[in-house]
Amino acid sequence: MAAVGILCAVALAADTKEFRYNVGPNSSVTVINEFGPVNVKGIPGHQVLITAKLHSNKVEVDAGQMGDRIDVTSHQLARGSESDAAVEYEISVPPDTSVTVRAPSGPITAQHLWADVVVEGDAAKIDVRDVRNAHVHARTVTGPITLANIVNGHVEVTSVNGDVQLTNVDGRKVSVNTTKGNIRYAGDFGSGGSYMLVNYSGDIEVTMPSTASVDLSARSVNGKVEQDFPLQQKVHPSFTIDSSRSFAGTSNSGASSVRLRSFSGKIRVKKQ
Amino acid sequence: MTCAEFQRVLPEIIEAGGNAEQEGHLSSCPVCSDLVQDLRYIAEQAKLLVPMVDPSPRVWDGINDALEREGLVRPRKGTGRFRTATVLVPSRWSSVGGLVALAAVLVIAIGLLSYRRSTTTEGRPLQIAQAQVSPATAADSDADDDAKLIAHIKQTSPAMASTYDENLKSVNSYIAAVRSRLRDDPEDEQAREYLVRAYDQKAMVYAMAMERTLE
Repeated sequence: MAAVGILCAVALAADTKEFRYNVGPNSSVTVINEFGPVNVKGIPGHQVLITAKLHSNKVEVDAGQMGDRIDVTSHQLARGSESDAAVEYEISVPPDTSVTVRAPSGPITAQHLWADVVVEGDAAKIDVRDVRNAHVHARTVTGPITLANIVNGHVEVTSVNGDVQLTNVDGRKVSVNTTKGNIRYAGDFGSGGSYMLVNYSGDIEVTMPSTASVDLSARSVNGKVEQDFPLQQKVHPSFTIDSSRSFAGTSNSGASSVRLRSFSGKIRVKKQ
Repeated sequence: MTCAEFQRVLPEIIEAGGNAEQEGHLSSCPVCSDLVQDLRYIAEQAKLLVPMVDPSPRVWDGINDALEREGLVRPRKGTGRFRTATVLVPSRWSSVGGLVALAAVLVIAIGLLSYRRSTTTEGRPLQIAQAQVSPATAADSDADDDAKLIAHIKQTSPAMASTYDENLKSVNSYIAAVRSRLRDDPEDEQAREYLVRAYDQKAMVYAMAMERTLE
């Protein structure tokens, strides 16, 4: 049943606006905010609630609903400082809402969601947690990215210089690609997942419990590798092992494939 | 099915989808999967390009010729697809923005062409020195496109220009290092995979810069 959106824009104060929309299942919300934080949280219900705190009268918020799609954009009305142009967003959505946020300065947080999450920010610090059954795409130029407690996700993380921290990220496909950013993974790898962590010159560090069931390979072209986790060596590894630059092996039944690749960074795998 | 076999029929797969064997390879091979994803992304971005920045016919002819040489498109008599291509773009785009967008597509296309060129042709390793477009030419083109992009960011988001400049340099260093590795060993599968990843990074930087400057 198509949901009918009801807009209720209320000026709570001179610089704060509130928008409420009723939505049906599987709606989507897109937020574009040049300066300032965007925090999105899934809460049960059928309503999207957006609270926008404007830092000055040099910026406005343009929000609208088309069916179950809601678009929110901050517009600069006049040239001013970054501080003048900033808008702080607090957004609550039904958990099955797909969320897209582009906030170059950030920070961006998203949590308690069961639908796709796309977050982008040049220098934005990104934090996505408690998301399940969803595509999670996060990308930055320099901003650090943290993902935690992702269940059954299809995860793609890309950053040039931002560090990436993943904790208990479980999914069929998990891909992290950075140029200089360090990549850290902590926790289990779930079952049946395919993990690919790649960078150019940053370090890659994986910390996992002894119960982790992985088929793991680590290769660095010019960097070193360190292994402090007991792996059973494979009889027929898919590449020639050079102990200073690569290793491969399985733990338990090898349920998830984990590939760690760095061109010139150091790779370390250790026990939690 | 090998990557080389898959990439030989890539144009058909992009246009019409693959058969069961090709789809099977696509789902199991991250390198080819990423390549297809990149090409589809380029195709989508190309739809956004500008009529107001209508490049010289020589540009389209050059791209078409390069793609034909690579076997990515079949030679066509008379008017090739690029010669008749109509490019649409939102009217709010400035001519500079259009140039940047065009540059982005070209730099990625050149990168991918160079990637193909540096890997295999007809399943055999190909020396980069024999390539019809040298790495130096591609690098010059990349540098020119990067300069245009940074110049445009300076106009629209001055505070971010240095950040983008530094990060493009990082990505270019990445690409250069992997290319160097491939020159030493054209059969290095690992290096090929890194090159795809490196161009993914560059594509992302361009895409994010374009999104920022067009908002």
